[in-house]
Amino acid sequence: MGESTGSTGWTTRKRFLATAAAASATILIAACGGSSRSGATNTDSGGSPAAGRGIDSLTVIVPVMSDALDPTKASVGSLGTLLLGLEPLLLYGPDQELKPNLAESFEQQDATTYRVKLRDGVQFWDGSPLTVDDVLASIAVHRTKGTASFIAGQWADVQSVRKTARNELTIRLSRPNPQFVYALAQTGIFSKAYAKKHGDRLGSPGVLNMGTGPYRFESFTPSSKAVLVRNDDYWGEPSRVARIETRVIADDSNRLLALQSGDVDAIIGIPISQIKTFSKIPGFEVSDAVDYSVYKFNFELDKKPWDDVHLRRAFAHSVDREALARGILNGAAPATTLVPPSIMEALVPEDQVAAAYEELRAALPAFDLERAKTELAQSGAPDGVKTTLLVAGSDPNLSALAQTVAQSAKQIGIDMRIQQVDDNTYYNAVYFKHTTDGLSIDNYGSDGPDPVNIPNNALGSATALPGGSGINIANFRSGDVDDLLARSARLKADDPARGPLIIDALKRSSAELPYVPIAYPKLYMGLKNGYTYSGFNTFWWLNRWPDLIAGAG
Amino acid sequence: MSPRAVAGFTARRLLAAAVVVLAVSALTFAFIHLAPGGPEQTIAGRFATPEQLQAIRDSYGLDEPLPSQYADYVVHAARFDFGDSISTREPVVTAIQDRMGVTAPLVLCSFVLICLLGTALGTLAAYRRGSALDRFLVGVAVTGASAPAFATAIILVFVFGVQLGWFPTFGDGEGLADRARHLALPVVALTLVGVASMLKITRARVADVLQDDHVTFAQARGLRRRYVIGHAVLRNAGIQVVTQSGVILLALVAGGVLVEVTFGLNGVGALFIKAIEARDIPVIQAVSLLITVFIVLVNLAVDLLYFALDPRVRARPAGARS
Repeated sequence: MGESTGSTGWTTRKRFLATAAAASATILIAACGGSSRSGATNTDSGGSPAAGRGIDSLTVIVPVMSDALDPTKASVGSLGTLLLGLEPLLLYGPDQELKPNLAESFEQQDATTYRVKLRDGVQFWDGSPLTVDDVLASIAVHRTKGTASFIAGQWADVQSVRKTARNELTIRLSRPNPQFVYALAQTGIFSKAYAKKHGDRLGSPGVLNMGTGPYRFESFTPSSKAVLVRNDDYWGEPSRVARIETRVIADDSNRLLALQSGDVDAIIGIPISQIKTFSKIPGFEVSDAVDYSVYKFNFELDKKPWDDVHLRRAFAHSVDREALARGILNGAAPATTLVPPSIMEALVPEDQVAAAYEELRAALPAFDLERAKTELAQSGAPDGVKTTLLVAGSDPNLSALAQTVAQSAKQIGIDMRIQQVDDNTYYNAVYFKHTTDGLSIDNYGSDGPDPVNIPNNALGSATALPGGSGINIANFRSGDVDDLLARSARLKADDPARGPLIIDALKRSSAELPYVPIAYPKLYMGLKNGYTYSGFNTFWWLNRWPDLIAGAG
Repeated sequence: MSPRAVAGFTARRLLAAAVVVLAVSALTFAFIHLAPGGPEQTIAGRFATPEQLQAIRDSYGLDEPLPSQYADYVVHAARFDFGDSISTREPVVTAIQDRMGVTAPLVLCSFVLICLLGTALGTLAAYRRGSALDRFLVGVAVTGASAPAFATAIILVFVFGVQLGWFPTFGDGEGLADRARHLALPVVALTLVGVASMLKITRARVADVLQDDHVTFAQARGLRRRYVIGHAVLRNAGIQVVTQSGVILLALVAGGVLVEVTFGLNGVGALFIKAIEARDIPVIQAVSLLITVFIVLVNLAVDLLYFALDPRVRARPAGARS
C-alpha cells in the first residue's frame, strides 16, 4: 500500500507541476496571440550609426505623444511625430524659414488673403493622388463649429478657405494675423477618403491614418509609442532613416535606465531636474537650445486680494529670480518679461533688445524683502495673506520653485500652502476656469515661432475669461495693449516695425504686474555618441528633424 | 454537502456579487463626475474656448442629470457595449483586450510562481524549522516583502537590464518571445514581493500541522515523506494557503499597476491610470468594472475551493452556512 500510494502521490505532484507549467504557457500564448497591434518584425531598436549614409533605425524619446494619430489631437511636441507622416503645406526649417512643402508655392496677396498652389503628382501611401479636396478636408476639421481640435485657435481668424483653381486654394482671414503662416506649418494633411471611411476611428491604433509624408505610420500606442517606416515612394528627397520609433517614457527612473542601457539613440526634452544625471551617462552627449517658454507666477487681477497692486508688488519682491533660475532651473536665464530676448531678436536688432530688456528689468520688482514688507504695509492686507498654490505633478520644477518662494514669502507674511494635484485638476483651475485662490504658477510655452505668440495669448483681452480660452490667466485687459498688438498684426510678418510695438505692449503691461516672470528654461536634448543633430531648436517639432540627424561617417 | 446545496450557495454568492458590482460601479461613476476638470479639457487642449468645451460636453451628454447618464451606462453595459474611449476613440473593449496581452501574463505568471515557490519554500522552511536554512529563507522573505515593488523593479532593471544587458529596460515587446523577455523582470519584481507572504503563511501553518498527531502517526507508520506532505500536511494547511493565495492575487492587481507604470508597460493598469488623469469616463468605468468582477470571482473561487479541499466544510449541514 505504501508503494502504490507513494507512487500515486509522486505522479500527482508531478502532474500538478506539469499542468501548472502548461497552464502558464497556454495563458501566455493565448494572451499574447491577438495582442500585438503592430505587424513589425523589425526588432532592431538600437540602430548603430551607419557609415555616413543611411540609418537603419532610430529610437528617440520624445516629451509627449498624442492620444490618436489625428491632427485635431496633436499640438506642439506631439506634432513632432504626427507631421512626419501627415506632412504640412509649408515646412518650417531650423533656419527659421518657411519653405513650400506640399504647397508648391505660397503667396500673401494682401493683408488678409493667401494663395496656395498645391504640388502636382503627390500620392498618398496607398497610391491615391493628393488633391485640393484632401487639403480642404484636412483644414475643415479644425474649423467646423464645435470642433475639438487642439489647434482650432490657429485657424480662428480664417474667414474662408476656397478652391479657386484645379490645384489652388485661397484663404481669407477676417483680420490680419502674421502668425497665420505658422498654422500652415502645423496642419497635417490627410486623405479625405480614408478619413471618411474610418470616421470616428481615424487615428486610433487599429486604423492609424493616411498621409503623403516621407515616413509612413506602421504602429501606434496612444500617448506612448509610434513606429514609422520610410516611404520609399516619397515625392521629395528620400530620407536617410529607414525606421523611426518615437516613445514617451513617463517614469523618470525608467527613462534614465533606458538611456543607460543603450537601447535609445536620442532623447528630446530631458527634464531639468535630471540634467546633471543625464550628463554623466557615458556614450551620451547633452546639448541645449533656448526654449520659447517662460516660468511665471500669475495673479488673477479681478480676484481679491490679488487685485491689489501693492500686494502683487510685495509678492514680486519676494521672488529671487536669479537664485531660482540658477539653483532650480539649472542655470536658465532669469526672466524679465514674457518673451526670451533671443526670440525677440528675430524682429529687433540685438542692441535694441538689450536696451529694451534692461528697461523691463528695472521696472520689475527686484528681490528685496524690506521693500516687500513696505509694499505689503501699503496694501489692503497689511497683516499678510494665506493662500493655496496649485502645482501639477507632471512638472516637478513647479513644486520646487513654489516651495522656495514660499519660504521667502512667509517672512513677509504671505503664507503659501503648496498643493500638488493631477494635471486635469491643475489645468481646470489655472487655465480653464480660473478657480485658484488668485495666485498660480505655470510654465507657459508658445505654440508658434512668432515673438508675438506669448504676448498675444497672455495679454490680449480675447483670451481672458469669460469668452476666451482663459489662457490669459491674469484676465489682463488693456485697450492700449490690445491696440498695440492689433497694430503689430496688421503689418507684414517680418516688418521691423512690429518688434517695437510688441516691446511697447510688454512695457505697458508690466506696470500693472499681471505676471511675475521667473526664468526662461532651456530645452535639453541628448544624443548617443556617433550621431549628430544639426540645428536642434525649440521648434524641433515643426522641422523634419530625422533629416537633421546623421550617423558618424 | 449535496451538489444542490453547493449550487444554492454559489447562486446566493453570485447574487450578492451582482449587488456589490452594481454598488461599486455607481460609486465610481459618482466620483468621476465629482472630480474637478473633465474629459472635454483633455480632448480639446489648453487653448480651447468655453464654447468649444461646452460643445464637447454636449456631444457626450456630460451635463445630463447623473442618474440618467448612469442608467444609460448600465443599459449599454448589460449588452456588453462599453463605448469608445474619449481620448483615443478606440472601442474600450478593444483597448482592454490589447492591454490584457501584457497584464494577464504579468499577473498570472507572477501568481503561479508565487504559489509554487511560496508553498514549496514555506514547507521546506517549516520542516527545517529553526535551522540556518529556515532563518535564511525567512530573512529573504522579509526583505522581499519590505521593499516596495517599484524599488525592487528599478534595482532589477539596473542590474539585469543596464549592467548585464540581459533584458530590455522598457517597453512590452512584440511577439511571444520578445514579450516574454520584456516581462521577465517585471514578473520577478512582483514575485519577490508576493513570495514573502506566501512563504510565511505556509511556513506557519505547515509548522502547526506538523505538530498534529495524525502527521506524527503517519510518519511513525513509515509513509513516504512526499505522501505525508501531499496528503496530510498540505491538505490540512490548505485552507489558509488558498485564502492567502486569493489575497495575493488581488494584491497583484494593485502591485501590477505600480510595476506597469514603472516599467512603461502598456497594460490595463497603465491604461487605468491614464484614463483617470484624462477623466476618460468609459475607460474608467469599464476597467473598474473588470477589477470588481475579478475580485468578486476570486473570492467566490476561494470559497468554493474550501468545499473541494476540506471535507469538514462539505459535511456541515446546509442550514449552518450563512
